[in-house]
Amino acid sequence: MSTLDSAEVAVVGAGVVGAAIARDLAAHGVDTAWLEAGEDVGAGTTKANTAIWHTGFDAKPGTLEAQLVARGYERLIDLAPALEVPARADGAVLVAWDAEQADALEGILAQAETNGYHDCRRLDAAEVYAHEPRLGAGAHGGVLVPGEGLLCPFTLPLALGRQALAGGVRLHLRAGVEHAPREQGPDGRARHRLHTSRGAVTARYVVNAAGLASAAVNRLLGHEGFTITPRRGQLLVFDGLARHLVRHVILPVPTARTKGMLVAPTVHGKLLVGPTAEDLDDTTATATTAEGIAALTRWARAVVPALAEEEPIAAYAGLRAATEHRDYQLFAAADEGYVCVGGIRSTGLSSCLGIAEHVLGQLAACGLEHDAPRELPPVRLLGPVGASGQPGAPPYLGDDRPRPCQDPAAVASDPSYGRVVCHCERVSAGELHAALADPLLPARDGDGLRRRTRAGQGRCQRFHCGARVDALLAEGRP
Amino acid sequence: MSAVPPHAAAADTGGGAVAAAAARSAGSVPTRRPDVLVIGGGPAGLACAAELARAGAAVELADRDATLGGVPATTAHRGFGEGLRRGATGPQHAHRLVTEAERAGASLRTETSVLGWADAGDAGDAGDAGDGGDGAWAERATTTVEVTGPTGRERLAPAAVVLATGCRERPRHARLIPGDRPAGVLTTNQVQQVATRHPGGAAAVGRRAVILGAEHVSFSAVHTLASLGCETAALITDLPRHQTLAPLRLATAGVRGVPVRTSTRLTGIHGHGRVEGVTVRPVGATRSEEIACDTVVVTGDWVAEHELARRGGLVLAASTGAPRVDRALRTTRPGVFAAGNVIHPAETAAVAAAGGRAAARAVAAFLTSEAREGADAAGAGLATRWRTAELPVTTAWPLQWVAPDALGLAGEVPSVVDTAVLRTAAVVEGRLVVSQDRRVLWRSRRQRLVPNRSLRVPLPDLEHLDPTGGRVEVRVSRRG
Ligand SMILES: Cc1cc2nc3c(=O)[nH]c(=O)nc-3n(C[C@H](O)[C@H](O)[C@H](O)COP(=O)(O)OP(=O)(O)OC[C@H]3O[C@@H](n4cnc5c(N)ncnc54)[C@H](O)[C@@H]3O)c2cc1C
Ligand SMILES: Cc1cc2nc3c(=O)[nH]c(=O)nc-3n(C[C@H](O)[C@H](O)[C@H](O)COP(=O)(O)OP(=O)(O)OC[C@H]3O[C@@H](n4cnc5c(N)ncnc54)[C@H](O)[C@@H]3O)c2cc1C
Repeated sequence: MSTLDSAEVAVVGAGVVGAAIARDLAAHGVDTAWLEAGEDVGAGTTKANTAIWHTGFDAKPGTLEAQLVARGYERLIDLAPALEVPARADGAVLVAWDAEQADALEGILAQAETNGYHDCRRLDAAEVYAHEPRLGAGAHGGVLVPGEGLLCPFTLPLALGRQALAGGVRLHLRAGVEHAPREQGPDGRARHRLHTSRGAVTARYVVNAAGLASAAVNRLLGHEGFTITPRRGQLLVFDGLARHLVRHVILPVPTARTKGMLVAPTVHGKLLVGPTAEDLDDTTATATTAEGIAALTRWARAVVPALAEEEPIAAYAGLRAATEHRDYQLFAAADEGYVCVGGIRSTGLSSCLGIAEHVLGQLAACGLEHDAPRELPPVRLLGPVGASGQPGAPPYLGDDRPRPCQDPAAVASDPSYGRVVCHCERVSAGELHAALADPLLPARDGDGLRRRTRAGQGRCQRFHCGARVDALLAEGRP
Repeated sequence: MSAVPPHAAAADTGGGAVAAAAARSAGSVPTRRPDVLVIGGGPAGLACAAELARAGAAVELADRDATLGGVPATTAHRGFGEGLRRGATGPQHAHRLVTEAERAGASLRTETSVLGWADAGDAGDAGDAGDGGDGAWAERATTTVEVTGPTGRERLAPAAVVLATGCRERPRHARLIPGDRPAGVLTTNQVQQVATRHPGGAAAVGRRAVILGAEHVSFSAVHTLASLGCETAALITDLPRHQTLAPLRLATAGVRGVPVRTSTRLTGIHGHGRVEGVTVRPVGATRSEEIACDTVVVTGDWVAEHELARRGGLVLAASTGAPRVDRALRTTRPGVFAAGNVIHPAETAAVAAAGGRAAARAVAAFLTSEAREGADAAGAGLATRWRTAELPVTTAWPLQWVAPDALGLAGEVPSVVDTAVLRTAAVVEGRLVVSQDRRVLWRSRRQRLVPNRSLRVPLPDLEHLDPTGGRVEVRVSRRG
């Protein structure tokens, strides 16, 4: 079989975890090949979740997950501006809906302290309603978690990926790893040979960040130790016109098995309700169900009764890579140059930068030599007030800045930013062209265009713009 | 861990904060003051602009689309037109209306999106009107709007606004249809746009479709799909019968043999990447059935294109999201009128155009009336009076909605519509009855009422009403 690439490190999987690892490898000047089975970066579980930027206040103390979520949170505070990732700490209100749950609140506060998160505050029922005036009746009290936040699950992996590519990482899409034998390299040292449908990639070190397939890839590399039971989470999205109903992330009291269903704003200015938690055995079962949607609708109305008047604009489901263990499956086989990053189930968006740092340490322990970290060029997206973005770059997606069509300077710089194509989300022709022509990570399909611009993600669900966006895509596809 | 994260914005207002930020950065956004701004260049908006220009008003029409004409501009089949000219195609009809408005002297602008209201109380976002913001907001409510387009950002401060933003088909998720999210789930409008304007988007349309809905537009979708080489496997409706007129049904499903599956629900959409099939289940049955297809077209079940109405804090009807209007087609925001499918989703283009013309008469009167002075001087004054004396018109099951859904005050502005349109949610035999406080004001002949078909009743004259009485109700009487 032909050789596709040869590198010091191969990262398998281009979800948010693989993207953060690839980005950190680039920052340390490591020669890296990055393999993804699918068509795009961030198109797996990474795009279908609740998009909460977790502090880790409620993590299981002492776990690697607790440590890496906290560290990932901290790193993103510094990196978000350079990555132009919409991320902000609006805070969360955890609500106890009965006396028994209220009794659990002290334990939650104590657990946060154990986890090193000291900003939580107990709220009585009146304070809960002062924080969330639209909350349904029956709250017994709660906990305020000021740091809990929101982030954009579309931009984060793409921005990390852009920095990785700008830093020299080579991304191979549609290159799923099918076999992974060991072989002897020309220098006589052992190395990995990763067979993909597009050719083989040889590498001294392999990082498995294959998400739902992390257990399968782990087996390809000759390891056992965990299996993945996909845990489906269904979610409903409500229109931006209902956004004002909620101010914080509204959390329930978690159970042993799940964090439970929440009602949360998004950085795109919408509302999310969910997720459910259903154990399945099919890693492709991302369908929503009538029961799931009914449960979400009931929950939405119980938590925020005014949502009964609102129609959902979208429903989707994501699969958590849950395992039989209560922690991430993150380990190294030092003599083989292999690091497994498996079972990153429900916190990977928040922890990815913590994971990446940890993986770099593991690789170094395996013998990888790397440079001291260097600054990577910042990501420049279009959309900051005053048009500091580079013309020709895809847009910033957060609702804390105007869209280019709303920004007089952007429109003055290029009339195509005033030519609105997706009216619900206010996406202009200029932004769509830019996302298609992006030299680093161009959109290749409708879903990729949507994740880069929000086109088609609004209340009309492509009634107005679908045909035109598809036509632009057909013309502009590289 | 108490560092302040990036963009820790004043976030509780969502788009409101953005609007404010945009306004700050706007600084030099120019403001113009036409007499009237008509928002939407479909049949309703075009007819309205033509009438107003003819009456001598300085009227501007803004449409966010690149082409004027609204939905008809992309509807290739015949069946459009006012009065005797009913045989026109959609584009012909649109062209006539555009020419009429141009000749009358209206200024027509395309690619001009009205984004929202300039006053800070853009209520859709900042909202919380119910939490006491209402009064304060109403004080500030104006007719000034924010506009964007390729020629730049602008602010328009007309004396009156006419909302003619049309309606759209309720999409799949709003109908709570579960399943996968493959490509190939479309609306009729998207299929029409592929057929007439964006052939480059044809990949979305496959070879074999299932159509959800069996109303007029659903049958129109059968034709449009056929013109694109896509056959229709079935039309699915949970109602006990199709809801179009016999000739249209015959011309499509009958002749082509497309089955209409009545009393059947669409319970799932399947496929990874592309649609592979749907699951349907007869109402009341426990067994489901699969139909193989690569395209699903979700048709009809209209909702008003109400974003601006909502952002403006207008009172809306619950079932359609249409702004509440009275017999002068006034909304609950001073100086803001509405006409066309945004108030009655969906009627024919002729009805929409007639509504636009009617609204023009009311606006012309408003421009010269004391009502306007009242609105200018007192801000909320008119709105407040309006709300206390609105005389709402309501419907009772199985009737779904009625438009206009209020009668308004006598004498203040002319009554420009004398008929209300309405819909039933279920097939019933009976008479339509208009009454106030159990006093019958009008009764129709006995008829079969079918969902998704246009029904109408005369609006009672104010002289026949008790001004201090209760609401006016439209209901179905099954007796006699
Ligand atoms: C319902 C739900 C809600 C969640 N909410 C949150 C939240 O609020 N906050 C938070 O921080 N986290 C949340 N998460 C968790 C978060 O989404 C995940 O932890 C994170 O996305 C995992 O990223 P990943 O890169 O490991 O996996 P993925 O995004 O699945 O990426 C793995 C990639 O590997 C590729 N791949 C697989 N096999 C191969 C192969 N053989 N060769 C090459 N490539 C391969 C796949 O195609 C895929 O692109 C939630 C998850 C779910 C399901
Ligand atoms: C498939 C189909 C078949 C039909 N067949 C027939 C038929 O045979 N005969 C018939 O009489 N009728 C038919 N109709 C109905 C007819 O198209 C409508 O009655 C008519 O278009 C309604 O006119 P309107 O002006 O209210 O709205 P629309 O035609 O929907 O026009 C609304 C306009 O407002 C613009 N707009 C919306 N928001 C903004 C904003 N914020 N800023 C600027 N502009 C905005 C839109 O771009 C659009 O151009 C059909 C409809 C469909 C969908």
